[in-house]
Amino acid sequence: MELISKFRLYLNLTFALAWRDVRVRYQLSILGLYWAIINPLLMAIIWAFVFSHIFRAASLNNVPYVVFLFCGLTYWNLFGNSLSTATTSLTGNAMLLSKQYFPRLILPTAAVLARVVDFFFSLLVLGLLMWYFHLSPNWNLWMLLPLLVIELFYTLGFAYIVSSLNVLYRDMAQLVSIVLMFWMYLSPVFYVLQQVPEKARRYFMYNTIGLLVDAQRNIFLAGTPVNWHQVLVSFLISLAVLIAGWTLFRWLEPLFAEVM
Amino acid sequence: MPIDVENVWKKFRLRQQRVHSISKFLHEMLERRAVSGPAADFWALKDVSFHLDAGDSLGVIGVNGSGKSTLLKLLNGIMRPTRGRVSVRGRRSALIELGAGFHPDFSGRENVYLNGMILGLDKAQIRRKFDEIVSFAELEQFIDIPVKYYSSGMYARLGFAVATAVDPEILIVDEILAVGDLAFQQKCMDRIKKMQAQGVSIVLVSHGLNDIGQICRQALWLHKGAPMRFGQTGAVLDAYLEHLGMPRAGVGGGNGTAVTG
Repeated sequence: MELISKFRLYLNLTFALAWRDVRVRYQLSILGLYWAIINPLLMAIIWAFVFSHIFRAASLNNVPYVVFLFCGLTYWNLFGNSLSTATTSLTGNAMLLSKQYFPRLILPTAAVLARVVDFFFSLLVLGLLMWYFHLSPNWNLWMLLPLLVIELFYTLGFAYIVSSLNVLYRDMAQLVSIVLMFWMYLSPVFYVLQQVPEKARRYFMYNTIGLLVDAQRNIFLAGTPVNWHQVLVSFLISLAVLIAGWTLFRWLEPLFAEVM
Repeated sequence: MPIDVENVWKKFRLRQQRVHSISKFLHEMLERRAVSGPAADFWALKDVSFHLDAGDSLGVIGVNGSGKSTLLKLLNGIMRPTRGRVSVRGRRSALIELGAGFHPDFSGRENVYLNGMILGLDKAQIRRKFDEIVSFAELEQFIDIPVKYYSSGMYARLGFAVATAVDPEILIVDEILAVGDLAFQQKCMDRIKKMQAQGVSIVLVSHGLNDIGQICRQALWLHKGAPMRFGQTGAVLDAYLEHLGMPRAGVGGGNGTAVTG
C-alpha cells in the first residue's frame, strides 16, 4: 500500500519533470509549443525540395526519399536526442539533488519522456508528409507500439549509463555527441540495410537501434511483415541494456552527492 | 524511534587532483603520473550515535568543519554513511538552501507545485495548501511571475513556506533563521515552534546558540567529526561555551536567555 502510493508519487514527479523539460525548451519563445511542430515541418519542407528537385533521389521502400528519411530520423532522434539531453540531466539539476532525497533515476527518465513528446509531434509531421504524397499507412501499424516500447527500454538503459557517468566525468557530454553522430551514420537511417555491402552487413546486424529504426520504418511505410525472431532478439538486448544501465546507475548513485 | 543514528562514520576522500574528465585522465596517463593524486582519507564523522523520540528536538552545535552539515545530509538521506546505520522513519522535510530547487524561468505557482511533489505531496494536496503557502510567504501579488525576478528574501520565504507546508513528521533545519527581515524571521520561528507543539521532531543546526536554546530539548556537540557531548541542551551549551573560552551564560533550555555571538 505504502509502496504503491510511493510509486504513484514518483511516477507523477517523473511526468511533472518531463513536462517541465518540454516547457523549458519552448516557453520562452513567442510561438511556444508550436515550435515543436514547426521545427520538423520546416525540416521536411527543405528536404522535400532538396531531395526531389536537386538531388532527384530515387525512392526507397517505394516512397519518396524525403518521406523515407523523415521517418527514419523520427525514430532515430527519439534515441539520439534522448541520450544527449539525458547526459546532463543529473549535472544540470545539481540543486535539486542537494535538497531532498528522491530516486535519482527519475531525472534521466524524465529527460527521455520529454523527448517522447517531441517524437509524437514529429510523427504528426510525418503524417502530414504522407498525406501530401498520397501515401496511406497500412494495417500493420499496431506493431509499432511494441517496437516503440523496445526502443524506449534501449534508450532508457543508455540514458542511465551516460547520465551517471557524466557526474563523474564531465566530458561524457562531448563523447556522447560524437558517438551519436558516428552511430547515426552507421545505422540504416539515410539508407536501407540492403544497400550495405554484403560483407559489412553482418556487423550491422549487431546494431540494435539501427535494426529497430529499420523495422519501424518498414512497418510504417511498407507494411513489411515483422520478423518476429529479430523482434525477440531486440527485445532481449534492450532489456539487458536497461537492466545494465539501471544497475550501474544504482551502483554509482551514492557517489552523486559527494562528487557534485 | 523516528531517528536512530548508530555508530556512524563518514569518510571523504581528499584527492590532490581528482580526475574530472577523460581527457585529463589520458593526459595524466601519457605523462606517467599517478592518475589521481595521493588519496587522503578524511573522516567527517567519527562514531556518532544518538536517538531521537517522536516530537523531540535536537540541536547540533560545533565550530565550522565539525561535521554538522555532513550529519544533516545523512539524516536527509542524500548521503549514506561509510559505516554504521542511519534510520529516519516518517516524512521528512529539510530547510536547507531554501528555494534551491526552484527553476528561475517558472512562476512561483509552478515552482510550488514541483517542489511540493519533490517533497512528497500529490497535486490535490498541494492545491489544498496552495493559498496558505502563498499567504505565509506574503507573495500574493507575485506568485505568477517567474521566480528569477524575485529578491533573495522572496525566494527564501517561498522556500520556507513550501518546505513547512508538507506536514513533515521530521523537520531538518540548517541555519534557518537567517531568512528575510526580522519580522519574517520571527514568523518562521513561530511556525517552527507551532510544528514542534504539534509533535514534529526537529533537528536544528545553528551557530545561533540562542535559537538552539529556545527550540531544542537536547543538544549534540560535534568537534572535528567526533561527538563531544550529548544531552540536555543547557548542559551541552555550557560545556561548549566553556570550551570556546566564553562565560557560561545560562542558556536554559526553553527559557531562551539572550546570548550573543
